[in-house]
Amino acid sequence: MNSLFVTFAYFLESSKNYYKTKHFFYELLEDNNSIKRKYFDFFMIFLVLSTVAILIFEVNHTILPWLDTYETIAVFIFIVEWIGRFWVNSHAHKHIISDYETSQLLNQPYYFSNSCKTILKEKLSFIFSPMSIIDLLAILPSYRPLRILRILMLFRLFKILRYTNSIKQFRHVIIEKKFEFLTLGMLFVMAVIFGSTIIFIYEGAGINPNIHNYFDAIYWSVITISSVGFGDISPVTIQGRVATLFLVVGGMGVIAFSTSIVTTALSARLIILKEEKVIGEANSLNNFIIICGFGRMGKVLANEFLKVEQKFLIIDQNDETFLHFNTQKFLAVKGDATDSSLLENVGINAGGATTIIACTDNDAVNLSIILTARSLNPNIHIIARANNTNAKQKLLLAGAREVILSNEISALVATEYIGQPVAFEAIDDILLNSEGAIMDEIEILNKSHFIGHTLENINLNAFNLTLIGVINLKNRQEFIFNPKKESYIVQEKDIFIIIGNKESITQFKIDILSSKPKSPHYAH
Amino acid sequence: MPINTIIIYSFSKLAIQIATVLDKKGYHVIVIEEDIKLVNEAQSAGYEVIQISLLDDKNILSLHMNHQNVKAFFCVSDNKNINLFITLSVRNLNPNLKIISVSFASQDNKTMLLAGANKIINPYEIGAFRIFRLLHKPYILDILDNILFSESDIEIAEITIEQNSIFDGIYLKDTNIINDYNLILIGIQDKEIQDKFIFYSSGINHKVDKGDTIVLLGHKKDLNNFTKLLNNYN
Repeated sequence: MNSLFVTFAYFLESSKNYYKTKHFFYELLEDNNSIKRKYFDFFMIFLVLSTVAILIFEVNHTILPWLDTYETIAVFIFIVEWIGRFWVNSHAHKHIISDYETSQLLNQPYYFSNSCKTILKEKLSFIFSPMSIIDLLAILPSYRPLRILRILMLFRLFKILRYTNSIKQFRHVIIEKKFEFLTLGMLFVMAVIFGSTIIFIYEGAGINPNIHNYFDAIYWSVITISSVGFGDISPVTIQGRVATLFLVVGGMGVIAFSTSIVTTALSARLIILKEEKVIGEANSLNNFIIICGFGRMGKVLANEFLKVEQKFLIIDQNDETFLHFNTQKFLAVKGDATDSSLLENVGINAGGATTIIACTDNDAVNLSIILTARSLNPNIHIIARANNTNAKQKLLLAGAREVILSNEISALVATEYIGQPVAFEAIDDILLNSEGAIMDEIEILNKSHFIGHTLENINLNAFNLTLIGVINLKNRQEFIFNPKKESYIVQEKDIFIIIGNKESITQFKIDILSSKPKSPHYAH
Repeated sequence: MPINTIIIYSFSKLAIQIATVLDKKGYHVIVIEEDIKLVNEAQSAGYEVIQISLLDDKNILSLHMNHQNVKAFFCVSDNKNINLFITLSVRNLNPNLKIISVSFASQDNKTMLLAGANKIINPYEIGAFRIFRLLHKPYILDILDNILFSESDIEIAEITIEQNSIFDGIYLKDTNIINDYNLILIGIQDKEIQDKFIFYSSGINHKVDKGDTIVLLGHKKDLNNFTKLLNNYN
């Protein structure tokens, strides 16, 4: 018997289809980042709301038969959903395997009943989890003999909690602020007991015609303390009125206190929520860049990336730096980029991050970012900013592929200006990606109709482009400066380095991609 | 005043880098610094240091910046307002001096130009563009680095056209001489429209006059031969 279960457990473990199916249901029911789950949630919310609408409709209408069928189908879906959750909640067969292997290792006999206990415990804890109870209560009233419990149908509304992430956060808030709420609750209960006892003692014995029993007193004191004050019961004695005054003042305190707890906790939660959303989005991206530090350099860099629609994520400790920027256009996380768990969360090793740029104004922080990133992903492209000359070597040693010492580059650029100001301006124009002309690299793809032609044939002048040189990726990446127009034959994987304005370059790129010549630029 | 003198205001981190490069290129560097600690640092690095404040016009005049041997003035302290003030003062006293000032934010560039700087350098911008290019145009970065900053064979050069030069009065597209020397014409700066650099690739067939400056790219020896040719004509 034991061995039968073990064999079955191993069979499941090795079955690809089993895992695939289970994973599908997991994605559908529980995976927060899955798109399938999103659609499923919408569908379930619709189902819940429609069945509740039927309940309301039934109050003063006779039920239509097709609505009954609809209800049955909905309940069936609810049951299947619950069973699905019950199933994907844990991997029962894994317990059997691990227990079996442990017993093999220790050379002890294996008892299925032991694994059974663990599995049962796990499944029971699922069944008695609040959300599962809500699910069950939402299904229960459909059972004919329990028709009387129809009001439990309203529990279905609670089911919606499951499908909307934001409301779920409210639960977290309550759990997080358990202590505060408990204190508040105690305070509230004491105030209520205090108020209701006073009013009951002084007005309960037939003095106040509206207070018949202690429940009336409690009802009055809760209505008063919450500052609702219906006025159906009001104190008639001096003592009762004094008690009311205290209750009203105390009530204000209770309300203010509870409001502040909820709002502060919720706003703190909102930041986490936003961050989770950003991380979730980052994980769905391919080929993006992580910029650590959003200072003066980071901002210029971000602007350039936005221009070429390169996706990126910014990590900065100070979220005020994001405020002046339109964060709708890119992803930003407030946090410590040297924190390996944060880098891991945004997908530095498993996700789509290809490059990480450490550009804070602190060399020690940059070094730490490099080391953290390198330890998480040995292949990621790391670029670092060095603020001091002697840090450059260390940053390279830590694993940065390139280190930018902005003062050094600036000095080279600035001194170039002294010797040849005009040439410098020309280069500066090109470098700053300004309106005039830009320098671009264009790769000749294997299907291009340019392959095999001489440069004279292609006639770059017709595109208003100046060719500086050609790099051939096949040929040891050698740079050929100003290749001879008559004799140079364009090859596959050539990279043209050209100067021209943006429009000309775009036009040329379109032309180069096509496999047939479109424009009459071939020189005959 | 030694020939090819360059005056640098303050001995900031950026200034140290600039001084190093200029020194290598054979310029005579004079550092102006007030802080005694930095003065000592600059002196031990081997630069001529004058310890004065440039906030006073008398001190600026005492430097004789209008001397023909002073090639440029760098205003690169770490304080934005002091840079502005000194740029303005120096420009006021020396209308023809080449002034290069630092700016730390692109929105300050305009003010600095208004104050009279010929050229603005923004280290953050330059650094950021470099990172950007590293990722997006690595080949270009490599080639430009080779042309601009290293002792490579290919160089960029600017040549001012003199009267009666072979270029005087001809249209750019009508000459093959640049091609014959294996040079690439990047563009031209017209004497009349000082600020506007016309790229050859813009397609404008510009007529070259004396005083115009052409910018060429080419191998060192070709550039030398070409300049020789021009000189022979003059």
